[in-house]
Amino acid sequence: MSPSAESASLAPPVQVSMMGAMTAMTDYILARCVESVATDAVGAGNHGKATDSAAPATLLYYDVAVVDGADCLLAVLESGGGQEWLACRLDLDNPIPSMGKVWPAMIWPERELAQKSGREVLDHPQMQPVFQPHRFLPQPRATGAGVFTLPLGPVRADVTESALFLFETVGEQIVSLQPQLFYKHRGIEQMVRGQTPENALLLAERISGTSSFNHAYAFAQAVEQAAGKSVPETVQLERILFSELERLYNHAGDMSQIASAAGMTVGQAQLARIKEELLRLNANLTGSRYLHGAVKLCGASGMVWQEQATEIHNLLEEMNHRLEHYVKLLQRTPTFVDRLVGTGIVDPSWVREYSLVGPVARACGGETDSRSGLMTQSSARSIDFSQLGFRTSVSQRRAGDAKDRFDVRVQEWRVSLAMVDRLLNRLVTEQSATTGQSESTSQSESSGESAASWDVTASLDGVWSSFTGKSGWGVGIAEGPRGRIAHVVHLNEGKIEHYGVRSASAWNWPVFGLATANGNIQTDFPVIDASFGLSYAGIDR
Amino acid sequence: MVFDVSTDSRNEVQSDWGSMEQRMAQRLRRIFGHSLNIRHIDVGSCNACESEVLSLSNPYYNFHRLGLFFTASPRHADVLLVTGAMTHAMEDVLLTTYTAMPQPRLVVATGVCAIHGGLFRESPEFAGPVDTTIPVDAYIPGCPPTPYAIINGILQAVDRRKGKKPC
Amino acid sequence: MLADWLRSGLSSRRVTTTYPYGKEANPIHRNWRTVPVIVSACKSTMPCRCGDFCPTQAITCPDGFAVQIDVGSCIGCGRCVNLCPQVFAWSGDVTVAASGRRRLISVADGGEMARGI
Repeated sequence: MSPSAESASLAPPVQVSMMGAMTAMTDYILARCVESVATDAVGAGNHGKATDSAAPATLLYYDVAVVDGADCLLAVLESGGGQEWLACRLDLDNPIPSMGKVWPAMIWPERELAQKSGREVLDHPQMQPVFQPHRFLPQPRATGAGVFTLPLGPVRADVTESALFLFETVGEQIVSLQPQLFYKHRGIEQMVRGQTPENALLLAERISGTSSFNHAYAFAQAVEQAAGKSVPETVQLERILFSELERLYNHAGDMSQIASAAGMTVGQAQLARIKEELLRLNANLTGSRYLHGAVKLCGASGMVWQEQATEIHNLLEEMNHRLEHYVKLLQRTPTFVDRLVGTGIVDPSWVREYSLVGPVARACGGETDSRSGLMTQSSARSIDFSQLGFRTSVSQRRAGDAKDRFDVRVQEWRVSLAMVDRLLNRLVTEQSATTGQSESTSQSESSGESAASWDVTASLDGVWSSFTGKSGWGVGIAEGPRGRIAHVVHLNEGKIEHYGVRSASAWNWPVFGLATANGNIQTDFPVIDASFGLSYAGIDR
Repeated sequence: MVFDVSTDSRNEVQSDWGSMEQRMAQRLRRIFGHSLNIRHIDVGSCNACESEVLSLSNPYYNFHRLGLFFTASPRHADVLLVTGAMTHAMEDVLLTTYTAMPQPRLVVATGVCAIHGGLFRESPEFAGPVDTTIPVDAYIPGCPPTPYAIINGILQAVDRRKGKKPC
Repeated sequence: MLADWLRSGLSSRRVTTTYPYGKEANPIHRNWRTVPVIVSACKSTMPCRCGDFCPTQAITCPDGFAVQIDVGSCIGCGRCVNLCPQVFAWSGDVTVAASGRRRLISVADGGEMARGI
């Protein structure tokens, strides 16, 4: 593949620590993810623990899995010190205590795992079924005279994904909103079991089509960690470049939808035009408008960046000029700004309570971005993003309303553009430094004459998968356009035995209903829907 | 029961396959030549197809110049554009939406998930290709199909493809 | 305010395609993956193996030599085009839609190619 230097650090094999009691596991998770974070925020505090075990951690994944042949509850935590894998056996006389009553972020995941595993979750504040949503409607919550209950969905106006929203309004004022998702549950996690990583990659790309690359990127990292393989630095840089390209078109599209929801048709058309140009750029580079096939497991994408760099630079510069013009125009239009200010306010305390991610979290002042900080445990994340021009885009107003979510996306656009420029320069330099070697390699590998020829690493008679015989656990993290995506893979003799996905939208959906019921009127709903920009397929899987 | 599809509606669907209705539908397609109202339904997609269908309204494709419009209600629609691999939860919803459309009505299955199931064919949640539930007039392959292909497919459904005879 | 919007909107150049009418009748960049088509019959002396690597079994070999591809189940992964470029190529065409399900299936055998069985 690419002849450049191997990356310095290789992820050590994952050790899953088995906890004896379920309560020990949930207490530990709460201590690391909730209490220690709270202690940090309020200063020297109630807990007084100064050891590493009190260092704040992020919960990446929490679901049932088969570990060492037994049904267990698996949790994956990440902190400055590395990854921690915890599991605890599920048995009939060891019910799962609910963390949801203390940490609201766990309410939705616990509903899912209760239905999936058939086990009881004790003292769950609001247990209700999640799958097979066509069999039931959410229970109306508001009581009193004049409350109007409207179940809107799953087929809604315009081109949107399917989900049902139970509105309860008094006049125009929305008193409660409950989203009912999982109408599009396709069972991807179950389907991937028993497949080779190469075939599973195709499914991972289609979890959510608009974050196709970032899901594939997270999956590739997980599989590479599970198999103990590392990728060279140029490959990591390439993947970050594609990830930023995906962010650019998503943000342009989301901004276009916000303009559309507020009735600004010229803004909508011009921003949609930019999204279309970026999709065409993706197709010109990789053959697919949604970057399908841009990730190669353990290998380089095959792009010869020298040929593309100038064209990409010029295109992005011209696009940026137009985007800045229209964004400035929008931000100076009082009717647009007035629709967004104070709409769909996300309370800053929810960032920690619900473990929010992405632009939704950053709009209320939450400094969470999986690209900040340096992770040394996983080889794919040994890159320091700040050297590539990255800085976390947190809103200055910190009001958490739709205006902030729009502004954060504009800031992220600027940061992504700077990163793409820097990455292109680096990739061109690194590829031209090894020109002689890379030319001969790419000639022997490519089977077509176009610059983006997608080499499939197998011959008809040879081994189809490059992961045969490999076993291990791995987690992959990517910052998608909507936030942090985590994929967990257990490879067993080259086939995937467990696959779990926690996408960004899965963390943010619980807050959607709360933000809408937060002093908004019925007609604010499209603005809130557009400003959150959440993926329904991402949570439904 | 939220989505109550009576047996009467199912019989109505069956009659769409009668040969006399088909001949009439062929003639009626000529009437669609001036404008078309499209109702989109997502029965279980990954949202790439939605993004492509939404792209139809951007300045590059501008489907309004062809007389195509999106409509919010199936009762105002001529064409049902179906995207996604149909899940069990959406099966009755699809049938309800289809039966709510007044005749003459056309169905366009957009994307490989709606035509065949694609990668989701073996999933326990997959309820079958769209044409096992409702009759389909045009199939647009692709994952996702480009907006050009979607325009081609919709026009194909109303036999307006330039220079080609109706299939 | 309104003047700014009007000025910006009107000064934009036209980018709208004339598809399906006019000169731009087949507007696809050469790199865009569309659907695979069979460009020549498979002349392999071994029984056809393409079916093994197609992830949705869109490619089959019903009688051992005549390759058949059903683009209605093709997700565009490109494995067939990369591994057997002598048999498969991207169509480069946008007119891929069909009114009948069976018209999405193409077959090739000993020199004869038929679009739709």
